[in-house]
Amino acid sequence: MNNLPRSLKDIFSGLEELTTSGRYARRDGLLQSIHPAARLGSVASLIVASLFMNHVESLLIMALAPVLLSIASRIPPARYLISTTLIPLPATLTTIFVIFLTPGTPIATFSFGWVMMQVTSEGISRFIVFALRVWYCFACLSLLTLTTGIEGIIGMLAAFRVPVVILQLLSLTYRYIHLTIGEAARMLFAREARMHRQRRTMNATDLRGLASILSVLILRTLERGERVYMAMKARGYDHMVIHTRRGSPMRARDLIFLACILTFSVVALGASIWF
Amino acid sequence: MVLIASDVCYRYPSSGFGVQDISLSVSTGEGVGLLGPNGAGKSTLLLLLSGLIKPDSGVVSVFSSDTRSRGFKEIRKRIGVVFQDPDDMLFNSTVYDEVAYAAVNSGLTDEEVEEAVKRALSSVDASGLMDREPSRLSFGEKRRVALASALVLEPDLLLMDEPTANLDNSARRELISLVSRLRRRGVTIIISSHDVEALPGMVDRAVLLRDGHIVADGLLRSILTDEELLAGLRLEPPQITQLFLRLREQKIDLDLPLTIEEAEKEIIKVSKRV
Repeated sequence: MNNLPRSLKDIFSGLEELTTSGRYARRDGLLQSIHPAARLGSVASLIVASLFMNHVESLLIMALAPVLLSIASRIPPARYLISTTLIPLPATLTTIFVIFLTPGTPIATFSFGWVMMQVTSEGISRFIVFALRVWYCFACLSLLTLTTGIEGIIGMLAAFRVPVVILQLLSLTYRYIHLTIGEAARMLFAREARMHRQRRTMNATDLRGLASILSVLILRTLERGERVYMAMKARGYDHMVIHTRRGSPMRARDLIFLACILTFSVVALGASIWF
Repeated sequence: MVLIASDVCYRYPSSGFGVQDISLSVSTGEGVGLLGPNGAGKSTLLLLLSGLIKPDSGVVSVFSSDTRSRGFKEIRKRIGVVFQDPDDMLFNSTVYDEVAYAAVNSGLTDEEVEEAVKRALSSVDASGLMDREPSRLSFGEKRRVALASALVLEPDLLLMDEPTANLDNSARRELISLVSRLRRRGVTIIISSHDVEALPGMVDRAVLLRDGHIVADGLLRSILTDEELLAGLRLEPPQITQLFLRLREQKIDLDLPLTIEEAEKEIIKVSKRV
């Protein structure tokens, strides 16, 4: 339980940690030693394979891959698991109604006045598959961002001929995430500096505080956006232009790693379809 | 003239505040400080002079080109703008890309861009930051990178908004020395600031603003030694000048210095006289 967020500040610092590209990029781990393009190819293959899997068992086996890779890349596993579970949780919960809406064998019935709702085993299975898939994709992408600096990510996307417009958007978005989180952190510090009771858990007041901070944050980020646009215009912004220097070529070990992950993905996908 | 502003008015649609009836001309190589309290319109005037916002009425002409004309985009290559908050200027993934941004936009070749980036970074003593991620730099480093990104095209006119804000003493000294180097190279510099301690090393003319109007325009020395004028704007002379003003009140005949160096010379001069 020690790793669960205990305050608003913890949530924002957790968010920052997760969105900070390359937080563990300097560690001497497996993924860090692989060429960024091979890393991207591997993560993409793992994600694509999972999209075609509809069984809980096969997704659970696939889920081992990001966990093992995170350990091999010297990312603290408990923190990694909790962060990758908590962040996509709200998105996952919005689909919980599929357990009532999916036709199939009923396993429980709830009645709310004249409304009867049935939970079906197919519904539960569909929800678990969806939740696992969301977690899995998020965990794989987190692996990529945690072990690769933003320059590496943009560089590898450029190597894959991703349009310049998208690279520029990615670069700006990344920058904005940090500015927004920084802005939010400053507001939270200012708030905490005037709080005279120290609490370790969130309550209704904290939630109200969060809502007010978020609304002010939106206004501040809009103003910031205006100023960044001015700064871009001052330096000749007219068309989407990005300057990215070329990286180093892939080595044999990068290709071997990519081949291993591709093989794992194809075999797992084949087994999932076959069985 | 590098810059001429005639009867310029600008009001922000949201707040209604801005600047009014601003007329100003700046000649080549001049160093001008825009002084005034918070909300006086210094930053707005700087944005107007850079052509980033257009006046509601009046004309701003930079290098003989109206900021509202279509051809002004070309002129913008000759203008460097340094914003108050360096975070507003840093949006690329590496310091190199950040500094290269204006150079790439101006159509330089890869080799020329690389050379310009190295030169700009070295001029602000930030060559070691080239491969770093801008979001992870310290405030002082961000400020230096923002300055380098404004200097990359070697502008003829440099506009700086509160450049000394939040800098430690050594970073402040470095900035002052960089600005004086640029001035010696003939770069025209306009600095918006209320840091009366730092301005004497960077500019020799001051334009005082209050509530969006120019209330005084003259030599920095005569303005920064006029206690009464400054008090009306909630400003004070530099501390060393204040000390000498107090000594003058004691009937000690002294020239008023603006910096420690000037004060040292004056004290030596007076002590020899005694």
